[in-house]
Parts: sequence; C-alpha cells; structure tokens
Amino acid sequence: MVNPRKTASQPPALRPLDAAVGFLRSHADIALPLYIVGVAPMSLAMLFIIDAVSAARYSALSEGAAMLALATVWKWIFSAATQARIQRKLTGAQGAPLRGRIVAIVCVKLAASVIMLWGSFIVLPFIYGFFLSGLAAPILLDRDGAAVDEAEWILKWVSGAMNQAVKILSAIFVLFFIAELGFGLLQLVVTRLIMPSFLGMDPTELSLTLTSAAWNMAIIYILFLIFDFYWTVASVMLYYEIQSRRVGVDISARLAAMGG
Amino acid sequence: MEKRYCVNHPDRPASGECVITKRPICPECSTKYEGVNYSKEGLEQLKRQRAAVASGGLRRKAVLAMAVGQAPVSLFLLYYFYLINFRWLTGLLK
Repeated sequence: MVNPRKTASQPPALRPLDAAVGFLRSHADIALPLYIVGVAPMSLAMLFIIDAVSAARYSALSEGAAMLALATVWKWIFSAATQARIQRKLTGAQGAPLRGRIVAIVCVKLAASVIMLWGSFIVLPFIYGFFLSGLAAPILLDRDGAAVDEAEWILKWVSGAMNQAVKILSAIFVLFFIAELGFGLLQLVVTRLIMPSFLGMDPTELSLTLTSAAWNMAIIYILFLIFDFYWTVASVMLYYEIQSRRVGVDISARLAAMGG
Repeated sequence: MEKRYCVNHPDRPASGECVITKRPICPECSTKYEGVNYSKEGLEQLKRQRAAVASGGLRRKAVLAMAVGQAPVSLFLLYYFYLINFRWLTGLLK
C-alpha cells in the first residue's frame, strides 16, 4: 500500500520509482505473466550462450548473439504489451491498440538501443536511449502523433528534465550495484560459512564455477531481468506522472484508489 | 451596410475581400485562384504557406524513411554489441 503522506514528502524526482514498487506489491499479477512470456526466448538464448561459454565453445558465440538480438526484439514486444496493460489499469482508458503501434514501438526501441549501447560514439548520451526505450510504448499507445514526433518529444523531455532523469537513472544504477554487492556477499556467506560450517560440505570444488565467466554472466543476467522488469513498470509510472503535471492528477492518489 | 473600398485604390469600391489577408479588394486587385479571390499579398502568403507545408512533408517523409531504415542497422548493432561483449567477457575471464 502506498502511503500518500510518505510519497508527498519524497523528492518528486523519485516518485515514479516508489509508485512502481507500490504497483508491483499489489498488482504484480497484471505485469508479470506477459513479461515472463517476453523474456522466455531471451533466457533460452542466454542459456545457450552460458552453455557455450562454460564448454569453451566460443565459435557458438556469434550464433548465440544473433539469437539474443532477435529474442531482445521479442522481449520488447511483450514489454510493450506489459506496459499497455499497466497503463490501461492505471488510467482506466483503453488507449491505442498495441497491434497498430507495435512496429513503431520496436523501431523506436531499436533506435534507443543504439543510443544506449553506442551512444557515446554518436553524440547522444546513454541516458537519452534509456528513457526513450522506457517511454516509447507508454507514449505511443497514449498519443496519436507520428513515432518520430513522439520520440523527439521524449528526447526533448529528457533534455528539459535532465535533473529528474539523472536522479532516476542514478537511483536505478545504485540499486543495481547494491543488488550485485548483496548477491556477492550472500555467495560468500553461503560458500565460506554455511556450506563448510553448517552443512559440512567442501566448497573448494565450487570456486572454479563461482569465478567463471559463465557464472558471472548468469548472475548479471538474472539481475538484469529483475531491474528490467522494474523499469518496465516504473517507466509507465513516470509517463503517468509527466502527464499528471499537465492534467492535474496524482499518481499516488490513483494507486491508492486502485488499492495499491 | 457600410460601403467598403479597395485597400490599394481608396476611390474604388471593393468587390470582395482577400481570403488570406481579409482586406477589401477591387476587381483589378483580385486574382481568382482555385475559385477563391486573393489579393497580391494574399497570393504571396499562400505561396509561402504551401512551400512550408511541402518542405515539412518532405522532411517528415525523409525522417520516416530514416526511422524505418535504421531498424536493420540497429538490429545488427545490437547483435554486434552482444557479440563483442561476450567475446570480451570470455576473453577477460578465460
């Protein structure tokens, strides 16, 4: 349950992130099934890659990368569907049908991925791609404008609200870092303390696995999934909040009304 | 009703008004184009408006072509990013 008093006293920049937590605590069932369908092929592609790495079949990496790229596009389609469901629940409006906008959404997300991954080489910093990717579906499903114009609107919004954008991005990075650190500590506690002291198991055989590239890739991928899902929800909340400033509705009040 | 006079010829009664400038004009100052009366200034404004719309449409088409055209290139760049990162990860930790 979101505490309106608590959210009102928080810095407004991070309110969408808090709203996303509130939404997930009460309505995860709306977002999770579609998201899982979306990431299933990506997870299979990652399994293929991890298997290739652990078996030292490095020639299979290009095949795995191609599978992963296609699976990423598949994930975007279902991320957009997830966001559409959340948006419908949040606003109560039907919005534009996803089928009619999906090509535009994928095109914008592809452009956003280039900015995110190669942005430093093409002038636009990572942050523009990050928000362009997150806001593409919410905005294109809510407005009638051409994809190019809406993408331009998002980029202008990031420029105009750079302070908030940097705070949100930093918060997500810090959370990711803490999660990675927490996982590392948990791994240490399990292998150095629990396994030898309480379970009587020798963890030396595990050390080879725990320091391998395959293991690290698997950990990073699992953390990526958690944070990607969170950002999928949070970006809808962010778009709702941007809109709320214009139309004068409050996101925490809306979540409270939804029983979140 | 008040009698109106041509904006260019104050001594001549106006026969109508320009649809763009809304100023009264006499038959000599009026040009019929697409069934509508325009003054000289009105026609010039119309020409500028149409040129702006045409160039805007052209720009929109160019941007749209670029947006769709970038998709396969972006997909390749996504694939290439994954590939070099996996190679880097395995090369680093091998």
